[in-house]
Amino acid sequence: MSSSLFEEIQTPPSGDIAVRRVTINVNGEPRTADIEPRLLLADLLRQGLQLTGTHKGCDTTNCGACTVLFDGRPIKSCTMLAAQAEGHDVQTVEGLGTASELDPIQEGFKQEHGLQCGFCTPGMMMSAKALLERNPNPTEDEIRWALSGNLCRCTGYQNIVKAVLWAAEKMRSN
Amino acid sequence: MSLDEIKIGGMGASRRRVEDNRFIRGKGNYVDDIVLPGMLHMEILRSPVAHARIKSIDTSAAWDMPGVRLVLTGEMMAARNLAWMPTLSYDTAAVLATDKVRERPAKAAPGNVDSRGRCNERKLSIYATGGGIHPARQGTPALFLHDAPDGHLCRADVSGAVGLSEGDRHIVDPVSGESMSLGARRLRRPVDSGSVAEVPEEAYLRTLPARACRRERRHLAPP
Repeated sequence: MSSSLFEEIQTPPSGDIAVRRVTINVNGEPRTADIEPRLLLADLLRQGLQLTGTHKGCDTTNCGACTVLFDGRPIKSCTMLAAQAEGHDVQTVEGLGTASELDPIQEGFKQEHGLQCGFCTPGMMMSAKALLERNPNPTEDEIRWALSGNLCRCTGYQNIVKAVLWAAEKMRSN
Repeated sequence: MSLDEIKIGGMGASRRRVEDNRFIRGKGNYVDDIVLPGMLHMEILRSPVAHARIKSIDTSAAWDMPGVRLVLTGEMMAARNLAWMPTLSYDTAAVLATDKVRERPAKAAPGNVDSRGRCNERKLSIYATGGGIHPARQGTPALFLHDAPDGHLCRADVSGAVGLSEGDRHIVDPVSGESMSLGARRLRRPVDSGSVAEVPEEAYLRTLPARACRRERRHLAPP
């Protein structure tokens, strides 16, 4: 009688994995974690810090769902090591707005119906945030170029572009 | 639509989206966000070669990785009579490839690890040979038709009748002598219930009458 496959699952090893302590400013707060040097930033955010608003869609830097701001610049956290973020500022979608007040970009996506399933939305909003920080009055072409590293597979891009235009106008009026 | 109908709502009336508030705050709860106690992650190694015959699979490097709890191969499944499973199409499909890879992305060996971060490194080595079998197109799941003695799309485990070559526009069913045309189409894969595969133009049945479908299934069924 052959054994069950479940019986072959081994017990986890004890303490033989090298770890490194890192401190990263995430959404304005210093967060310290003991990580494997190979750990990706996206995995640290999602699993270590439970910031699951940063999504992993492709794991190959194609889809942009994992986009976060690294010292204010949009990067794809699925291809950056967490150890590389030591001492740097990282902003995720959880750092947009507050519990009671939405960021204009979040408002724009809501007002202009810029999302359906919402999976690409955090990455889209972080890329848009970086764009509007450096260019408060972008053209539609500039928005499309800035979001070209973020893929959406259900909403389509028209409303997303309109959402960013809406947010830009609101930020200028403020 | 009258004003009353709009006030009442229902068919034709727009509804306020209630899910946006959590999505735009990053508070959506997707399957990938779920964490259960003791949960393991699985990485699947797929064959880089279509229709290859597996000579051996070296799992030693995978076992040496920290956090790996199980490296499972088709051979291990076969020892438990689990390598082949029935489908809803009265067929059987390989859960993990054992002797031969029947479609390019066929699963050769998954590894279970206790951390998602470790899944990104694939340390399984698969040694395979092409075996002289010619798929219709690299990168496309070779599917649907079976056992061609002259080495086209085939299932070596089923003795059947119909072969398909690259560029074929028609195939002839040797049982009935009936000719069937091929064309571009997305069809459900009869050997893998519930999935839809995109296949090249020359590799698809444009129309397949129900009677022919049943015949195909009969051919695909294990002897």
